[in-house]
Amino acid sequence: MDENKIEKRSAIIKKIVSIIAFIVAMAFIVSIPVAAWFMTQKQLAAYAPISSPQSLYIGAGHIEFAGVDSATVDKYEDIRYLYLEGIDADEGKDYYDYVFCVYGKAISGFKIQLAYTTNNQFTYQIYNATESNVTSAGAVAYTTHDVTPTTYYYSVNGEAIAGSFLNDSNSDGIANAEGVYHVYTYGEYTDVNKYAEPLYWQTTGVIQGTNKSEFDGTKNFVRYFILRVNLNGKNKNGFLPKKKSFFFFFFCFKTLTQIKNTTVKQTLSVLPQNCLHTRADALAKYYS
Amino acid sequence: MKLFGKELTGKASRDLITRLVLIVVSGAVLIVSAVTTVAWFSHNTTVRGTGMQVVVDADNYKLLIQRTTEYDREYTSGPNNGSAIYPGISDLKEDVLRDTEGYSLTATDTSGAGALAFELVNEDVISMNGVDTRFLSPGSYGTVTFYIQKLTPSDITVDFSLNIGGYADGFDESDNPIITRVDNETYLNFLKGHILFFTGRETNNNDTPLDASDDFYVYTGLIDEGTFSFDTTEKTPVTVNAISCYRVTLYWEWPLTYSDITSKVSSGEYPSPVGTYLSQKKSFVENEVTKSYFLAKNLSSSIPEELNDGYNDADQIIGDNIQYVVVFIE
Repeated sequence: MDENKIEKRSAIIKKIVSIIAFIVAMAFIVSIPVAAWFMTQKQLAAYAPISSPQSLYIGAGHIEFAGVDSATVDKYEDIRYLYLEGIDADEGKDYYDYVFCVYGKAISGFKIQLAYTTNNQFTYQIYNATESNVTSAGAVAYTTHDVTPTTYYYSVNGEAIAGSFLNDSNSDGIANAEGVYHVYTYGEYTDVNKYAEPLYWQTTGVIQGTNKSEFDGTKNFVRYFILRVNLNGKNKNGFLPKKKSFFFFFFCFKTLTQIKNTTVKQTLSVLPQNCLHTRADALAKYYS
Repeated sequence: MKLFGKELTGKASRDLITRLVLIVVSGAVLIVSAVTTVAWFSHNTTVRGTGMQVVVDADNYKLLIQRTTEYDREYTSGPNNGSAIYPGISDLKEDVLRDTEGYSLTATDTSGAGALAFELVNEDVISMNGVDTRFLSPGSYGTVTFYIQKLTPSDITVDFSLNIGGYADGFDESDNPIITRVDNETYLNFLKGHILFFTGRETNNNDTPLDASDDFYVYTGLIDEGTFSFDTTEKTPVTVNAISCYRVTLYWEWPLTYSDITSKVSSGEYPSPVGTYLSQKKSFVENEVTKSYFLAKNLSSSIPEELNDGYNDADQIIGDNIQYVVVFIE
């Protein structure tokens, strides 16, 4: 009997010792990660965005970057080769297309702004364009101005790029005579012909700059566009004024990460790096 | 052998001894692991008791921060109304700092418990789209501030390590825009060389106390080896949110041009160690790998114009390849 009690007591003791050992072991296991958690509350990270330099430009036609495809040197077609010429009402055409491009480096996205006077009936649209070495119906031909001129062809790709006017609150196709954009352009001066005051248009969405494959390479990118000048359904017997008309295009670009063309006024008066303008003459036929 | 007054048999006695030995051994193993683990985690955070024997005791202090919301701002008018002024910052904070790196972004964010992310303060302003912005660029300057809450009555000296990291806009395999950490050593070296950190800054009123427009900063305490210390001895604590703590402020500046650096060293606006740091880090040896922290070209001369060109080229490379800077303090 006594031996049974001794055995039972011994078994109980063994169980108690085992439980204590287990608890002690678990206490160590738990204490280690908890102690580490408290001690890692000593890490700080202070973050800030960097203003990327503006590597965003406008060009005329074909652009090449060294290291892309088979190009060995950079080739640029300056914006001055964007000739908005040849508009002739006698031809009976509804519109004229002109190719231009936006190119740059390491830009995530951009918007296009277009400004023009309303002293004629022209309206404008911008389309994405596809470059090809062979012509196709409706394609715009562009010949480079380098030592070995080469002709490329640009076709409209998709619908017109969506955008909206910034200073046409009346939706009458004429710039607001008052408001912030009038002040940007003319300051306090108010005696302005309403058709001379520029109408400002900007793309609604963001156009992608450097895509993934370009990002993994040289980070250079080029996007081609077609500017369509609509004669607005008028022909020589319609509306064209009986004198020369002038209109100005301003292509201004905003990057998503850095915008230095802060206002249109600066764009017009200062002509910063990323906003170039070109003057186009719309020659109207004289009618006797 | 007796246990609780009862004689144990030889087998029971051997069993009991064996179990006791195992318990002691396992406990000893755990103790060693705990000490080793504690030491590893404490490696980057060293506390020295001033005038006392060196100890490592992480319970001596806490680090506190105050968060700002500059980089969370949105446009409130104009064609960009509602858009983020600093696109990408939210992705940097959430995808990278919080989810990947484990940093807490808010007081109630427990996902990154133990590490805190907050805004670096830029005192330089760039006007964009009609609003003042705080993008970093050459010429920018500002501060990084945090607080030490002492948990013991005696003064302490806390040693910190400082490192500068960069992140960039990129794409994943599905062409979705993401933010990735910059690993290119050249780009990071330029970033580290071009953004200088100091422990002290004073305002010099240029002998015209009433005209603040010609005031300039004089910096002291260049952090050139990635380490700095804070000693609470003779420092006056401040009370922030009812907590008594010591304010630690680091000052940083991104010199506009290379000639700015050299002229400020000459004038004393930068401490002389900046000149030493510049001379040590600006060498550019292409084949021997030793590159430069400041210049992006291999120069054969020290013509100032060439040095400026090399510095500006490096600025361009920084801007092209790094869109976000993160200063890590441990």
